[in-house]
Amino acid sequence: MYEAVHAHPDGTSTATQFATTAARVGYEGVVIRAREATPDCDSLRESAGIDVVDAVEIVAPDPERASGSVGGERPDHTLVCVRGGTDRLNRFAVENERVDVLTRPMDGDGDVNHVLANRAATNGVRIEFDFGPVLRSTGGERVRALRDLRKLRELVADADAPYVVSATPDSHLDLRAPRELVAVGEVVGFDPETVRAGLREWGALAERNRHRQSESYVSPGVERGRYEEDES
Amino acid sequence: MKHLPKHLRPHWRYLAVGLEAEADLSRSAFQRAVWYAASNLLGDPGSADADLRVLRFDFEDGTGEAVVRARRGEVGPARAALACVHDIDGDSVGVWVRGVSGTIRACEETYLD
Repeated sequence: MYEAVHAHPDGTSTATQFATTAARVGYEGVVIRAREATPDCDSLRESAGIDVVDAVEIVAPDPERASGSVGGERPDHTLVCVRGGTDRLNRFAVENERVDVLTRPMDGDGDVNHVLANRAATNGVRIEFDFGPVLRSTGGERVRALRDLRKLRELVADADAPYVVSATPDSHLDLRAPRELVAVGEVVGFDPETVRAGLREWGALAERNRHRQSESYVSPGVERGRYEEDES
Repeated sequence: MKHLPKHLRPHWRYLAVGLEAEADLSRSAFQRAVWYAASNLLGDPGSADADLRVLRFDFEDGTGEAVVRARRGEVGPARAALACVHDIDGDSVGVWVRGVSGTIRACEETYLD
């Protein structure tokens, strides 16, 4: 299971702190969703003993600027996430096959409906369930976050759209173990297997993209390499 | 009051918890944070069912460990409530459940240093 984190300077803790904490609490990998951060993923992978995925999170005020960033960042990173939060940005992200994950779609004024969920399913864009506000806020703010999560859950289930789960930690102290996230999910109405699948999805996505970026890959089903010998 | 016969006494589970924070933590502040987290997340009925109590607490130089008691069958909600403890008196704190045992002794021997 993987967790996607905001490392320094986007968050308060360094990528190293995240990787060591994540390894200790039972994650198989961390996704560093960078805006400004430039972690050295290869050396981190060796020192922490878990997988470290190089990702970028595009935070743009409007789809026009986000579109430029997606094109520019796609070749350099394993995962490309687009921060939602407005209806136009959410729409842009789910309609763009080059985007891997739409993060925080219900943040701020953002909303998702059945049309967007169906587009996400068609284009294979993962929709993020953000557990951050459930873990770290109280009162009205948390009630609104829970209401939004429930709506998103119902839409995603109906459209059979792909999804990921994250607690969006800014600091390694905000990182929570997979079993804790499953327990929190269960309390707020998620099926335990849904949360586990959402945490595993980050890893599956990273593996798929690494394969696609490898030299032997040409297009789906077409690879460069030796022919298999016939058994005769 | 006369103590309860064995079959009527509550069954407990003990959660070994690892702690990390930049500031110094006290046992009472941690207990209060656990109660608040439980009542905010689980509501009054859920929090009464889980009946969380901090039994052992040790915190030094930014890291620590504790044993938190919960009723048997309420370990899931207890875990969820502990995951929501993120801030104690304005300082952020990391809380990770290391494991669950049926006795305090087993809990300490297996999961605590």
